[in-house]
Amino acid sequence: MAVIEMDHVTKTYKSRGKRTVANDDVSLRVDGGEVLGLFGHNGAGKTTIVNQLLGLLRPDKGSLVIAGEDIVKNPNRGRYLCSVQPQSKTPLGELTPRAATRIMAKLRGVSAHEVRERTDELFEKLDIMEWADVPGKELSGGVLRLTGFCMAAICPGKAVILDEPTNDVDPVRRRYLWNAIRGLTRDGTAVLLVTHNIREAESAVDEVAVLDKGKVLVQGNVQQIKAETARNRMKLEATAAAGEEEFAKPDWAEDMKIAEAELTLTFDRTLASEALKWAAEQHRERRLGRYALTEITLEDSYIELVGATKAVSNA
Amino acid sequence: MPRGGQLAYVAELQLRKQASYLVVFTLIMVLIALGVAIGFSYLIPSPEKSEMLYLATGAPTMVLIMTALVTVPMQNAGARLAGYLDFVKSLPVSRKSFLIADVGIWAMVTVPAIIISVFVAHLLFEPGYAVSWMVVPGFVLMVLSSFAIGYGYSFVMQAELAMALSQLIAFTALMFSPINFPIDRLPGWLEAVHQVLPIYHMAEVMRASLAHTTFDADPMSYIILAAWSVIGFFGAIRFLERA
Repeated sequence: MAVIEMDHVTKTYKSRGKRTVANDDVSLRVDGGEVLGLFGHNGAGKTTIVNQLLGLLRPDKGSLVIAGEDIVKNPNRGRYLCSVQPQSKTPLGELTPRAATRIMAKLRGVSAHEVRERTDELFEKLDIMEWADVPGKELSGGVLRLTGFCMAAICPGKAVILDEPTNDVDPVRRRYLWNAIRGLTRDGTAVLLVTHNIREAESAVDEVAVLDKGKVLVQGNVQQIKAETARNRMKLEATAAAGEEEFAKPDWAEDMKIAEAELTLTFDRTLASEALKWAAEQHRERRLGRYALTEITLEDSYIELVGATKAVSNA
Repeated sequence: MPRGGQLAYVAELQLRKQASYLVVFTLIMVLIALGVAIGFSYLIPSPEKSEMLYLATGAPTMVLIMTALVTVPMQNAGARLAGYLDFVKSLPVSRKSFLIADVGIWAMVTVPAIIISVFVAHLLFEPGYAVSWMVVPGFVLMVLSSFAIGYGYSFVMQAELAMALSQLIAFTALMFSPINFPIDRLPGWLEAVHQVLPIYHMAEVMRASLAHTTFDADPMSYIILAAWSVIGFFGAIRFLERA
């Protein structure tokens, strides 16, 4: 069942006579128990979507419904129905992560006993217990960001909106965080996840929407989108030990890219053995460093999709 | 209306976020109040009792102005730039509760300074205080009007501009407003301006409450303060509730 439904939402900012269309006829849907990953370049209109759902902005056109309630008519309901981790780090000042999380839970009416239990559980899951009682102004950016997640996750309600939750977080704790995000859906909460970290988000999201210049470029199931863009292809990734000019695209490859000493070749998967043979040879001749044959990732699909629109608009 | 329990949590959030900062500001306000009550007397060669009473009853007004019209707007402008107000606006509570909690907290910051400065000035100079029962409703009205304007302008104006204006208010309130001297010493046009602005009326109400045997406040002063309270809070709430 849909918890968040955006239908044909348009939002334009006007500043000094200049009009910027932040959301252009955007329709999105997040079901209960599901994570929707919202991807898009800087300024694509992702945070505008978040702010409209929270009732911080009012759309020019279109409808917004959360858990059956009309948010355009009652913008005040948005923040009661969704808990949010904002994009900016919340300046906690002298508040400790434990106190901040407790206050958020109390505002949502959670009992004292339950607050303690859930706070401990979340802090342990994210391995931030050692900072639980340290004032916010002494905390690192990553711990502040994780505290922001706990403040949203302590009593998630119908929907949770996470705006770039993994920024500043170290790789080990990012893994814990992805697990915790997945964990939110267990009791039917809908999660809207805004992130640039597509590579890592791939395993945590069910559905994906790609936003480009305010428009939804594509929306659908992760596997389906990957299948559509990847078709029957795989890729070879390698570090180039020789200069760019020393590589010529092999016959079996569809496409070759070299950027910052990173070589990427895409090819039809039936030609995998040839690719492997070629790579081993290059490696022996010390023209390639480590190499690997991998599946096309969601991030590759994303770059291809967004790259395609750029090529069209540049043409 | 905000629910009582939620108001308490919002107050806790605002209080604990800046607890030691609030203590520092409470102390600074005590210094400012003593500075006005005692320090300004050095500017006058041989102050008479009546002039001392002006300074001694002006100090509490100055504390309210420095808190509500200078310090709080600076804080608010900073909070807006840091994205903190967007966070506050996304909390699952009535946004009015944020305003009520914050005004309550900052009003408490002024109380020690007002009490201590009155007490110390009385011990040192005995300028002729005569505290009326009006001091309580008068204080509430002064708090409401000054904070309403402070929150109002710091929310409605651009954050950087609000910061600049707060500095201008600090300077003009200290030097050119009829808080520490009678209004008729000002040139006619400035007197007319102060008849509309709340600063002079705040000083009048404060004087009438602290030395009611010497000073009277025109009923108009109470009306003007009430009007500023409504205008300021209307602006502040509109900003907070705006979608």
